[in-house]
Amino acid sequence: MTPSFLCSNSGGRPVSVAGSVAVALLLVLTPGALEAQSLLGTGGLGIPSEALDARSRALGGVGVGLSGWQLLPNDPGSTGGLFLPSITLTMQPASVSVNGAESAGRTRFPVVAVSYPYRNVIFSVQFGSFLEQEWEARTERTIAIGDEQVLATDVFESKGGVGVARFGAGYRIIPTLAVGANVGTYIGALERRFIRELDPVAVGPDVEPYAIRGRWRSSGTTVAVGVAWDPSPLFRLGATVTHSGDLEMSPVGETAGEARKYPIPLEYRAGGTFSLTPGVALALGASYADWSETGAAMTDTETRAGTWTYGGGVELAGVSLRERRIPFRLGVREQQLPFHFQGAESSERSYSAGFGIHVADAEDVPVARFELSLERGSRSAGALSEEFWRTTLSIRLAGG
Amino acid sequence: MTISRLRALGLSTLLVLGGCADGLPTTNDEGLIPVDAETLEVLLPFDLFATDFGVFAGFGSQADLPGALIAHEYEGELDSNGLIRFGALPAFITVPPPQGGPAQIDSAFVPVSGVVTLFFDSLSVRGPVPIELELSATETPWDLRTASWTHAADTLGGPVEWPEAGGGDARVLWTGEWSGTPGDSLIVEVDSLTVSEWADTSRADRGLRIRTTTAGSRVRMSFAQLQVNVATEVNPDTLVAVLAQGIQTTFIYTPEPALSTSAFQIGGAPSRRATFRIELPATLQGDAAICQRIQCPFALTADRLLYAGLELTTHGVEPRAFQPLDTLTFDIRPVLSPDRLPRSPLGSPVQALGRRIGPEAFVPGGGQVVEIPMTRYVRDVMNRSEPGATPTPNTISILSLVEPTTFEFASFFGPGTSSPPRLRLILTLSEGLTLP
Repeated sequence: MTPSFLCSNSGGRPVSVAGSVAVALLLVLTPGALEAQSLLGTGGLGIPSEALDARSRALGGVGVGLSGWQLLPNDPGSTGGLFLPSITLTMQPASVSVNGAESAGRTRFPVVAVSYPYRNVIFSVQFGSFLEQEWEARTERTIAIGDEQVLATDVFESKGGVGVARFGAGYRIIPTLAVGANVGTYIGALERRFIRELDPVAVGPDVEPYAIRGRWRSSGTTVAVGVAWDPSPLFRLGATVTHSGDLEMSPVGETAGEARKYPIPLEYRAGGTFSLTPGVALALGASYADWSETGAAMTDTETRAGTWTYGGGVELAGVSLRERRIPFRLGVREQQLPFHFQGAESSERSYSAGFGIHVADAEDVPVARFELSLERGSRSAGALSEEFWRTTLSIRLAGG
Repeated sequence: MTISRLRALGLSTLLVLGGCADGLPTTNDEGLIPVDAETLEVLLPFDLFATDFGVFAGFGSQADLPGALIAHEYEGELDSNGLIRFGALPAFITVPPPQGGPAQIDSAFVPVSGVVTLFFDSLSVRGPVPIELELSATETPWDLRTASWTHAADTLGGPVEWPEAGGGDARVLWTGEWSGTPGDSLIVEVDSLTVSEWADTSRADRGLRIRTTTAGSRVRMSFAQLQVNVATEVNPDTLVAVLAQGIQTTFIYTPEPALSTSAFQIGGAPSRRATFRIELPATLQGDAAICQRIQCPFALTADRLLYAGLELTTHGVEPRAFQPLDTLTFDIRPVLSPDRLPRSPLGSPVQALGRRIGPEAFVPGGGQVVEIPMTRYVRDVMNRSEPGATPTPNTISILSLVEPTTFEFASFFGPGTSSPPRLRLILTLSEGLTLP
């Protein structure tokens, strides 16, 4: 059966999902998909790239325990209340400036998910980001070629990362309690390239650059279970546990070497939303994972034993514009990054603000929403410091 | 705000945000590059990468060159005579009758005299001027492409010698001087007998020989023209001037330089080629300086190759009269069928535009090192034994880009000499890319 993705808002025209599909196609086809940026990605398997939507980013949390029902890979419990077929798309343009240097950045898509209800069970397919290695090192050195000293430019480029494709199911046991689970596989590829180019003025134009390239495809399984509970109309609590098998990186094509396996730690996420007043809600969340086993499997990278991520924010009811609610959000987030950078522990802190446009809702399920967040943050590890701007835009559509 | 407007707003936002900065964060910290690469230069001696060296001659003919070389005891030894064969006269002429009326066609006209005009390349003049020239009519059948100093023809039916080396016992038509001044052509009147002979295209002995008797001189005749005055019955009181259609030129010279067994001889007319087979070692044992940086021996593989160039050292050409006077362009081509050398077909040039070398490199003493890049070809040779690879012929010929280009040829030190050819390689060695 082909789902009929049509939504309506009170008094408005039907919202054809064809428009949504067009937007989705635009998202998928836009160059630079699933890419991000940080020099801290040079350490270990890269920098974590959590599959969070704009609302989670704006509230500074970990994507678990937010009020309402949503389609987030890290919060399988909250899919249980999505009784309408839904689609969620999130894009994230970001720019980073390393130690005050010229900024660089790309756009990535941390969450793409669809859900469909069948006999009170909400099935979903989700694509989310996980780890990223998007960085470049460029140095110049002098090399002796025969009797001459020749300038050489070395460029090392790392592109790609690891994502997760998940199939999940959620079920609302009682109106205030839902559970969910998803099983996924790691997807994506990591490409590394090294190029050495000798100064053509010194060696002549016929000397070709030295270039080697390696590409590894990721695989492995991951399973997450979660719960979403509303103990009272004023509270939402959520928790998720994610268990992963080894992340296997297998050489592709002419890439030399054997496949490598990296243990991925058990991850705990918990969070909640608390209504302080009728128009003000406080969201808090934290996650924990112990990456020490992963570090033991790597030859040249150290890891933190335990990494915490925690944060919180305030959601204000905001204003209504032509019967459409526009909430405002503020948040702060602190994240310990798992992989050391040149022997130093690394971390990220960000401050966020955002808003949403609730175009249409059906009971407590969003039918058409746009969410936007803007983060200003910094990362640091030893002598390295980065500052970044990160914009996250999410579109949530549902219909039936 | 309608839904469609909101959609448009969302779409616009996406487009705007999607157009944000594009690029990777970049560091200049070389410690972050997880690749340990060493780049080094290796000079392979000839006997370590090449076998089956040989020089072959006989490609093309001096008749393929424009004009003709005229020399006498140039550099004390070179004698060269030009040979010209004029084309046929027009099959008919159109003559107005003396009594008036329409012009009439006459195909039975009779040559009564002629004028030969010779143009010389004043820039090519070497030795004393003015130059004493002698123009003669050949009296021995000769072949344009195979005529040499000693032989009038060397084609089907076997070689035929000149009655006298250098063009035979020719009938002298004119002797005199050419000034050597730029733009000064030579105009010589020719009698009716000679013109009639030259107009008879069935005669293989027809031709004009040009030689100089000025010792030490050398000049190139660049163009010749024959104007024939013919009598016609249409108007017996009038001579009509017609031009011989077309001209064929060649030159015959002595001495013939010997083929070298130890030098690369390239070019000339007919042209010479140097040929050898490339057999690269699988591993190299670097010198002490290299082995301080990398582990020796190391494998010589295509993926490590950044550059390969054949280093040749010039030396003065012998005989000196064959020393290049202008820039030469050299080409390297794979020999497609080495078993059929020297007549094997050749493959595409290793370098598209060839390697140009000025004449100063070939002055007595020589000693200038020139390098012909051939990276892509050497890489193909390295990969020729890879499974599924198209085997690249590993025998190459070094030759003139166009054969022949000049009368002169180039000479380089060959194997077994004091400056044998070398293969210059620039390699980068690394352990490759790895995961953390």
